[in-house]
Amino acid sequence: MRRGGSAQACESVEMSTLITNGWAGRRVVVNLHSREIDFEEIPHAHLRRWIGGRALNVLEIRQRTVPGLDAFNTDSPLCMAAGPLAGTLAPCSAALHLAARSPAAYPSTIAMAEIAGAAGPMLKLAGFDQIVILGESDKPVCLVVSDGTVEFRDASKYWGFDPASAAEAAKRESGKAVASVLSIGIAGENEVRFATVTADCSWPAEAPGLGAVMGARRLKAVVLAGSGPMRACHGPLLREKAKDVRHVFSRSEGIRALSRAGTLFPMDWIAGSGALAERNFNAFPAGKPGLGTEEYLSRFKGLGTGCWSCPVDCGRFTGGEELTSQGIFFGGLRFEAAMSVALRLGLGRWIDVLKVCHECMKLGMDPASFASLAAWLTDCYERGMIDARRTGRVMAWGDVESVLAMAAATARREGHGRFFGEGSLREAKRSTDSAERLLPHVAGFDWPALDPRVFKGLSLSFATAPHDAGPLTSLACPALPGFLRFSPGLGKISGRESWDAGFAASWDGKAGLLAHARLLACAAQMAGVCRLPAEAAFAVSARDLAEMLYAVTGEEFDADGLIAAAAAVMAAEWDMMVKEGLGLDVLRPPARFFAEPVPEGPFAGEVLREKDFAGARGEYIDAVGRARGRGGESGGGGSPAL
Amino acid sequence: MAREALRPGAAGAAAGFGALLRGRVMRSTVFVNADLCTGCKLCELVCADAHEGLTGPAFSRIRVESFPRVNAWFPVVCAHCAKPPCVAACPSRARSKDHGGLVAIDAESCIGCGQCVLACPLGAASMHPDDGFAIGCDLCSGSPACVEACASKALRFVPGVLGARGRRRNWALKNLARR
Repeated sequence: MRRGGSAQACESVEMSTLITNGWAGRRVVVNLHSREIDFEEIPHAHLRRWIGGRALNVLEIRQRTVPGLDAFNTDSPLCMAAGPLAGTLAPCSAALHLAARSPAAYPSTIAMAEIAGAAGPMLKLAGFDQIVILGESDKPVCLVVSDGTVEFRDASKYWGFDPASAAEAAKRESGKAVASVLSIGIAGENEVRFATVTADCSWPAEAPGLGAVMGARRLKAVVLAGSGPMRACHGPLLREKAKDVRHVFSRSEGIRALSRAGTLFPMDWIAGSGALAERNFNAFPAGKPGLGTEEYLSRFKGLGTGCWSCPVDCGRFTGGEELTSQGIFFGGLRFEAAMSVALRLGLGRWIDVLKVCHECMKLGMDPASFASLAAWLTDCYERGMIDARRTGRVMAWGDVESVLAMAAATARREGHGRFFGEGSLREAKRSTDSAERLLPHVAGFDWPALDPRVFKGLSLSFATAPHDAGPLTSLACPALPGFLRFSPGLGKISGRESWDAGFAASWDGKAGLLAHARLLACAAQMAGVCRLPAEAAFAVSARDLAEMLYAVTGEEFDADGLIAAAAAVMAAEWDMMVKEGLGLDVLRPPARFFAEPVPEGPFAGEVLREKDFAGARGEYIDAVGRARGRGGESGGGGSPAL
Repeated sequence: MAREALRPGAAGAAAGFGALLRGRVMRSTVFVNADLCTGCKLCELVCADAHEGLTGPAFSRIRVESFPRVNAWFPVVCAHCAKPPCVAACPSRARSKDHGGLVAIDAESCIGCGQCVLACPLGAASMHPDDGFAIGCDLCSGSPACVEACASKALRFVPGVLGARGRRRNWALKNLARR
């Protein structure tokens, strides 16, 4: 990389912000300690090959870190990158990809998240493809990235604020009327290992731990404000293609489901399926009718909101009279957070679930990870493995007040919270082996709400890439009946013409479906498009992405080459995990799911079997490898670097 | 002639508004229902693209005011007022009310003084970020791109023929059909 000029804090650097082919061609490297700002040119050939977003972040982390480096080490970069479609007419092109070494993982590997709102376009319109943040500030700081300039602003005044208040204060003080703000809460400030970054007051990054990385650097907020224009290389073509994709969206049942209820749309089916495992996977109620999608929508409104250029509106604001009378109105509730809090903690009422989720988000930590920690502590307490001296309070299933108090103590690292803030695995490692075995995790990544003995796709997803395992990729797509309707092509991949509840518990076609969904999601994140329409609704294909990339960049892309580049990026992530010592013996579902069959309910007797699991994993790895090979030199397949 | 007649204070104003009331000259507008807006800002994107061939909020004729913490979004676009303050404020007569009720901008006459921006009570008038001259909604020649792109139906195009008289007529016809 050729290095550009260097500038000190608050110094403006005049740069043209007219972007004509989707790439700004620049990254900015900021050192919070020395306050040095380096502008680097990114060679066009590099961008052509790796496209942007997730690929740029993965390559940067790989290049700048060595195995064993602690996530809180100041040499470990926090990267933010947008793809070439960000800021264009392409539907759902709002995504900003964040990556760093993961404080939650054990040992630290990579944490990645796609952040909603308008952060991706704002970074691009500010004239950058990527920001790399190094070093630790000696006082709370806010980074303002705007139209080719980067400034450091003092954030002491709002240090201690919740993410939404901090975002408002940072935006106000930056003087930028149109901006996207990433901020952290108290949990991030206190380096709670599952703290999150929140975008635009409400939208938490899906991966836990990135908030702790910001907090460790005393970086309270990042304001992204871009106003520079962007011109697609083939404007009329992009216009037509964007219109076509929006038309597909309007007819897609998957998109309609997301528009209607956000990511909470599968809850009705799951609540009625009998596939629920409550209380740290110990209880199996017949059903959970009180926790369905319809009740959420009718009682708590679930008002839809959309990211930049997104017609899907899957973001949800939760309110309703019962909550607003208690001063609660919040955005950002997602399927995995709601399900984890409800099921892992054994909470049977929506209002309790929403209170816990709201409290976690207000404190700036991941509700699902916190639920995993609290559920494990309660389980151990009930079994007599630990006592109140360890937990700081009497623990009982369904005790919402105790959970809320524990959340506050964890985020503030008060009392026993100083241990809880280290995350569930590090806390479990302070216990006996038998207690540690009760914690479902993969290399420190907390298991979500759903039982892998029933949802086989989920076990495969976590075992192959825990940092990229989202329930909507790994659970909903391969498991939910009705998804076949969203994309008839999936029938060919899965080998099934019709899906039913039994399909969830089978291994049939899971490896192929997971590889398909994950490669598509990775390609979308490289291009700068939200992964949900691609992986959850299958409304955006690799061909759509390739055509939009051609229209924006003027470079020839084909679907196979794009998927091959995605496969190469996934291979690089896998390689990083292996170098950390996370081999096939570690990257696997928790041992208890192999040893203990589901004891009751419609899925009684289901269990993970070594042979089936190993076979599916091998099939998945083959499928990703084949995709990589198909791209040849046009994608990332032939890269000597990977 | 029609432009002169519609200029507030002009001698032919009464005749112009008379024509409006008779339904021959009806006011077209983009009707905004902020309750339905989801804040995706696609309207801004397609507007800038339609007029400038590029994306960037500052180039858009419609802007969405955002209050993300409380999930409130307000699309603001020229209402093509019957008595437009921007037209009255324009010292170079670059802004005018045209024959179809549209507040039109003559780019050649605009001197970039920004009086229209100060005068507009909605804040819908703006200046081009590059050349500094006035820009405003031109209803895309009767097929607004923002309306076409709005998935949540927060924006609706109300053409002149469906002004008050047309709507009365439609309502009456619906009732007539029920008899």
